[in-house]
Amino acid sequence: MLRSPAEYEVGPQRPTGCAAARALDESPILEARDVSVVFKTAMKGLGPSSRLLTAVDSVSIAIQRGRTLGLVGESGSGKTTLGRACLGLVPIATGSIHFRGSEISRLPKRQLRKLRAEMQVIFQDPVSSFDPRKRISWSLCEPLRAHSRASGAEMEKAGLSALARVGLEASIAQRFPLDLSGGQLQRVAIARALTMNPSLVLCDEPTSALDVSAQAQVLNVLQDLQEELGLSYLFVTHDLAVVASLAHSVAVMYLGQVIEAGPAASVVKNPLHPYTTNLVTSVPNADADGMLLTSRRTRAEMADSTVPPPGCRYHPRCPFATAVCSERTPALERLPDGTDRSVACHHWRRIAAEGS
Amino acid sequence: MIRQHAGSGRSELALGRRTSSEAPTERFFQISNLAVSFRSGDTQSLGVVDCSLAVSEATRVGLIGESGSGKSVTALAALGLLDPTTATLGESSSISFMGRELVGMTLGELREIRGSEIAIVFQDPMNALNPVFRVGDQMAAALRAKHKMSRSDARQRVLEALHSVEIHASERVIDAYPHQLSGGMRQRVLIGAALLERPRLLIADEPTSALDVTVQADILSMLHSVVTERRMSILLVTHDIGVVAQFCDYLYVMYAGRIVESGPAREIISSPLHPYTIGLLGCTPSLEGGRRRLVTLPGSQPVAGRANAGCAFAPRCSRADGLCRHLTPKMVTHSPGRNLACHHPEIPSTGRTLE
Repeated sequence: MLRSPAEYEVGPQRPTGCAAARALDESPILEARDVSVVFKTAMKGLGPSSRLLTAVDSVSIAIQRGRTLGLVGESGSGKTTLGRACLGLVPIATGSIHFRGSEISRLPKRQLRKLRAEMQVIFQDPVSSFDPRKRISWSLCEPLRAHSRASGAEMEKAGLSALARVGLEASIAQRFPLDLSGGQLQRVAIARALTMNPSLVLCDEPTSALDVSAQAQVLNVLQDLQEELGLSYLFVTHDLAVVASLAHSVAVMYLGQVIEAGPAASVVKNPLHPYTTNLVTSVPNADADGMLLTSRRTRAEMADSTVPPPGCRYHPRCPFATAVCSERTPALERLPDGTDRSVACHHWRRIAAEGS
Repeated sequence: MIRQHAGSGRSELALGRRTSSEAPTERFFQISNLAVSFRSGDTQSLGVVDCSLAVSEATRVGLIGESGSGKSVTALAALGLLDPTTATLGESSSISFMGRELVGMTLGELREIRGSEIAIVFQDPMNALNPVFRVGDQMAAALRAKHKMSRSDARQRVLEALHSVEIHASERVIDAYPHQLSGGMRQRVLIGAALLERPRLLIADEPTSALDVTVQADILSMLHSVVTERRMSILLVTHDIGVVAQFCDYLYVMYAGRIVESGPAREIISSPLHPYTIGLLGCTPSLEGGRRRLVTLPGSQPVAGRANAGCAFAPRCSRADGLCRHLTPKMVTHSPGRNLACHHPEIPSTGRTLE
């Protein structure tokens, strides 16, 4: 166990009874509608013109209050960019982002800054998200210093209570980042986010740099905090197994587009898009020996995102691709069975019929 | 050069001491009582405390552990690749390959073995390749340094190697610079380079950890078919128990610089005996588990060699008692093929009891 129940009592945090509040308020805490993010890739002196890279291409996602949305994809899929765009950390080219009812993509800077206090981020590399020359207590209070006018004593109190919430001893505050393990540092990063009393936390691959035993500790802390405080998570990861053990719903991204979405358990158990199937079968599973090595079907790697393939972006790698796949981009369509699942594939019906 | 070998009798003695605990009996490749200490300034620290493992011919052996367990140091030591100015091997450390003792070999003798008998593949393909040379030239250089070979012959051999790692556009890849290739392609190139001289044993240190899962699966699948086809042995060093389950026949689990459990991979995964192995399996998220709290091991792994007396896992172990805190458990044979170092192992549900 990471912490005793008594430790949860510490600190002036959000009142309990979040489950009730959640039931009353069904509107999503964060909603992104048709969001695109375009980067200019300038190659100064090397080419005649800069190219445009559409990292995120008209994507819509929504996160319900107190829930976790897993955003899954391989490197280059645009998952991190979308996550950052949702918090207003990356300018969007089209679409809109609504956080607790206000459209943050149009807010003036000062108001956005106020809202940002409620949206916190936990990054992948815990070591580089701390100043190596400052004690943990200093880093822990950094968001409070930036956002509030609290006194030193108040900040210290808030920091210590946040440390207790993630199951760390108060003595850690006096140590330096180098004295701590990766797992401990990542929990401090969570505590730092908690000092702002956020309602939404963007977790950007928070456990990818950790060993499995430290990963389990961090994932459990995140789950406990969600239950206690009703936090909502946008959880960006490449690891489908992590999503399966943590997320309520999942959106699978490929080359800047969401190609499948729905309740996490259902998507992982019964993937419809050939790419999702590829992801699921690629996860090395401790229980099924040798399955992975004999069931490989695809060989090609993800295409260059500056020149995405026409039609369905997955078609060069897809074993089910036909002529239509290279001509028309499939729309993300909602399944008619009321399961809240959607998929963007011309052939999902045929594939599902063949598979069953 | 690594430590001078103090006579051949020593390694025999060292082997004799623990033959009972070694499962694969053929002496194809064997590490016995490996201890590695690092010196920095005035301080000595142990990277590996006690590691003995064996790889038989044409088998796939996994060495699993978390960061800091000493698994990569073991892999480097196996080829004499540790920096001799800082690393020292323990007195009774022995590494033998097909009857030859590698500890104490001169650099010239080691070079005869490196690449042609035992080859190694590292985790990060970008750092292992030189960014300013074409990949084909780098691969050919390694070949031509050791063998008298014309440029065109070397190129031909490189093309064949690229083919064997299932690079279809080998004519294009051979003239590419590393940055022009994807991570997966670079890792294929490195594996191809390791296979150039048709080694008998491949040591792969986290070969797929930096790659996306779909690419990892493709590369593991390719690696599996290459080593099977060529009847090669592989020592796969990894932190990923899923990779081991898919790939390996036999498995060694390392914790804080010691091997704590070994046995057939499938048996260890289906019925782990050491509390650390049990914890490691429990805290690995799986696709089937659904939303849930994971099993956690409290605390973290101690730095190898700096653990307290007794079992290094004792502070994190729910079964630990006074015995564990005072006496380091020795590797013993638990059942045929399965060895472990634990005073209070899990008793398998088949009703078999220890001792």
